[in-house]
Amino acid sequence: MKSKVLGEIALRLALEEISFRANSLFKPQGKVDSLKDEKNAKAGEILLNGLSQLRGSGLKILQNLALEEGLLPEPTLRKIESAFDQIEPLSGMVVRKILKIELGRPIEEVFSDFNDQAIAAASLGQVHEARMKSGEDVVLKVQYPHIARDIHQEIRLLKSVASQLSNDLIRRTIHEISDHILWEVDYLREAENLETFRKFWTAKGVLIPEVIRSASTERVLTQKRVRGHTLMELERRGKPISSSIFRATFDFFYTSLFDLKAVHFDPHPGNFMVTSEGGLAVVDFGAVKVGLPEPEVFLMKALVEPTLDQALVIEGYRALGAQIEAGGEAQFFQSVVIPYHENLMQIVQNPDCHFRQKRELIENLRKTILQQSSNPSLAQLSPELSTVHKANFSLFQMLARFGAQISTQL
Amino acid sequence: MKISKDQKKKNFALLLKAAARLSQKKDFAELTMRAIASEAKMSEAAIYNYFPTKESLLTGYLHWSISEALEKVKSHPSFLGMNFSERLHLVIESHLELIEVDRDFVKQVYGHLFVQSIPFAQSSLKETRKLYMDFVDREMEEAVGRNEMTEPPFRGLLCELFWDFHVGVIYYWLKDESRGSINTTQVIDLSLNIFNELMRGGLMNKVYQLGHFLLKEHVLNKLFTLGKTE
Repeated sequence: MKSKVLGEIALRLALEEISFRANSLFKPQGKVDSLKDEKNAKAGEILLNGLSQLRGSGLKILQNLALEEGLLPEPTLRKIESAFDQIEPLSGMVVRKILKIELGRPIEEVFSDFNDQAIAAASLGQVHEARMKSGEDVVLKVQYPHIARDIHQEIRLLKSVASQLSNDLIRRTIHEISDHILWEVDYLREAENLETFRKFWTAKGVLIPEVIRSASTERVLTQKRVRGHTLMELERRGKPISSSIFRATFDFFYTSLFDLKAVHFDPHPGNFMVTSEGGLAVVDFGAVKVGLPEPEVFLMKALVEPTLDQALVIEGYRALGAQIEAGGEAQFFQSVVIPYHENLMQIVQNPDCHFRQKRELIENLRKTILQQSSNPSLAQLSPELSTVHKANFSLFQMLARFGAQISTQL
Repeated sequence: MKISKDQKKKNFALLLKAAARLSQKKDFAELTMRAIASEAKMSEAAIYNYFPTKESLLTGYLHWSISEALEKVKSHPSFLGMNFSERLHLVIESHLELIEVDRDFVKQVYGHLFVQSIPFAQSSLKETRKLYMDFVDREMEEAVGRNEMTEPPFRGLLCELFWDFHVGVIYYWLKDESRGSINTTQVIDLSLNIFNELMRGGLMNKVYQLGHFLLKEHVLNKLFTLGKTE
């Protein structure tokens, strides 16, 4: 069934590609560009329709593709969002059984109160509220049965389909997102991430929920409940969000990157909360990498300095696999680094950054990074670096979505 | 010596558990009544007071485990807050939980009763079937009283359908190798969801009405006309 679905996706994408190439022959550039947009829109539709048939895990892949701004057209993105709203949670009976299997005892022995009604259902699992026997209010992330197995199988199939695609962007994206999706099905990994971030951030005023290890497994993650609302909930209710929250979100990303050497790949408004005390809380650590290689952190840090140090930046790029010929450093610096840095500096290190006004700029930054792969000097560059960049742009986009206006000086 | 009702019940279960234990080491067909009695620390003569034949241990096991499950669910802390299909789900899960330790024996029970279909099996299971169907019937009536569903047509048939479903689920469970038999739980859940949807939308009643209309208009009327002509 899965291979059939993926086979169909590949076939239809290939047909779109052939039709695009045939139609582009002898057409002026402007017309080719509009045909390309049309082709990308159709590719998005094909992926959406195909992956939706794979249900949970397919939706997860779609969600990650949706994060790749520019890859899927707006109507497709809206369809994906509505697909998430339509996820029907597992019944209480099934969830109780999963918990019993995972925790090794009936849930009545662990929780004094357990709400059968899921408060959220996502592509990989659903969230329930409960109270521990010890009296603490907790939330549980319960993974759907077999999702880890399905994800592994589907990613393998999807990768084999992707390797046949001529659409570079989709192919590369599928390979990049695969690792992140696999991380997200290991809740013990997420528990470790939570603990690392919690240890680092508690003294700095960002609330990271405490993991209840005795009620957590690879497929169940129990954490203390955070009282407050996600940015997404506040947006839906039309509630104002203070600038200090946006600034804290901005700091959370960069400080985690530079000092903790960790990156949150999914800066999504559903993952940030305003606590009932008015502070920032971060709640989802599935798509997180702790322990980024030193050269990546070094280069990212060098690139946000107001004044660039050519030698340091070149050293950083080389450490990450860039092939910069001896003597060609200045040319590389001028043509690749400076234009990117100039754009970036309009956002970062800006004493009064209106993110909404920077939308086009953010998009340009993203395109610059995406186009880097076609630069022969950067062909061997660590692919993870572009993922860190993209996470950075997702943060900017989130801040633009909320119309944040803050100082971004680091 | 007169044995109390409670003691009888205990002895009955002891013998069944002894048969189940021995079946894990040896095929049920090879077991003797003496061996089973001895495993239960009872005399060979005593076993015949409870089970006249070796085969009656098979139906006896099913009857005992189902009655235990039906009893057990009533004391479940969430039972009263559950709807009809959740209650039925709980009954099946409780039954599976109870027979889990005797899985190998249950395989043999199923093999003898439903696959080889011993001639006496159906008649011997009548009582168990009735016990189960009475429970379902009562639960359905209560669910109608709670306005969870409209009065279903063919209630008796539905009760029989649930009995067959229960038997079928156990068969599925015996083959289920998923961790903690979670696949069985999902099969139960998804099947009962279909039932819920049918009841919620009143589809059962509508199908019944259509069937009734077709029968009345096109079959009974025709027969009546034919009778007249003759």
